[in-house]
Amino acid sequence: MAAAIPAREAAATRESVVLTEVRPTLFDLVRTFALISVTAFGGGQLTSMRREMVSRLGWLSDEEFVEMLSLLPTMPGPLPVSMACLVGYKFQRVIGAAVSLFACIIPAFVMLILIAKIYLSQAPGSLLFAMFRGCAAGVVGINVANAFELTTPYFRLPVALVFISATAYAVSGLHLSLELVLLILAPLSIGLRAWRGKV
Amino acid sequence: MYYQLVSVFAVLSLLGFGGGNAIIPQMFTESVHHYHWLTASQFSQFYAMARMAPGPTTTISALVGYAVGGLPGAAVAAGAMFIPSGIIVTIGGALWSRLGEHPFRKIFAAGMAPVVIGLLWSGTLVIALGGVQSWRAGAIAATALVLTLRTKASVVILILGGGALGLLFLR
Repeated sequence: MAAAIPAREAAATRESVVLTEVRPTLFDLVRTFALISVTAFGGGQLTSMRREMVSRLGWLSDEEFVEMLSLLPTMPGPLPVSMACLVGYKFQRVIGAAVSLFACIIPAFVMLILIAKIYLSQAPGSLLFAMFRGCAAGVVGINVANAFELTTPYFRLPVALVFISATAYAVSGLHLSLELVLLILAPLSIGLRAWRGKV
Repeated sequence: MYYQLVSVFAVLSLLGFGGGNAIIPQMFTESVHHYHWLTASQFSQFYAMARMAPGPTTTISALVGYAVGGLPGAAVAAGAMFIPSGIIVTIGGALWSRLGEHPFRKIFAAGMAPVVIGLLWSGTLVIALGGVQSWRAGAIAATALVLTLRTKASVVILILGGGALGLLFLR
């Protein structure tokens, strides 16, 4: 695992964030998704994926990432796994999608079975669980940072900010079902965009 | 037995719109009340583990499969949970990219963007409520936040760094 990191750091520059000509190989897809899958304790892999794919490796622009993200609620499946399928398909077609799907779930699957075995044999106050909680706290920081970075382009667009906060509030604050929120806010936002020509 | 696992989880896989957390209650009903694969308290224990472990919460399917048929059961259940939706998403993505430069594609993506970013924020809030339950965990999260914004460190380094700090401070 440690040997893979210097190469990854060399691959990403500021410029590649804008010009996305980087084309990941099957091996790149597996490495990135598997590493995230095995470390993203507590959930929130989607933002870790943005961090790696957009900010570090330059596979996608934020526009492409958000476009893929916007497709996901129209289809079934857990968001990070579906995102991996879309990215895999984009770069390596069906094989890429299949490989990315398995890279996303097999490491998580192995970790979960291990955790279950440990959980049932050890009190949750142990050292190992302290480490898991630390990992989960790290994931929270990564999540907030990525959500913030994705929001910054909209700081000058009050209508978009209203939709961002309304969606977040309706789902987390009012606990409305995701389907209901999407059925109301998505057509409104898309309709406004079509009508005004901008958000 | 494997057939039953596949029939339950493949159907749930196709119903899991907008993430998959929405199907957890139905998974509970099927596996606890209908098939009696496990008890309600086992299910909620499994749910806590799946929340804590890496990967989407629907990996709980693997634990249910494990309770039914050991490691092969876990693999069958997880496969049934993730492969059908994966196929649909891949087909959907392929059809979408065929739209090319169609104006609808741009309008849809631009209109959906604020909504899905809002969804990311609400997901972040859920994770934060579960992951930051003490000021020490909050300090680790804040450190990861600043390092994410200010450096190019890989998420693996950031998360494992959080784990190391957790080992020291979250006992």
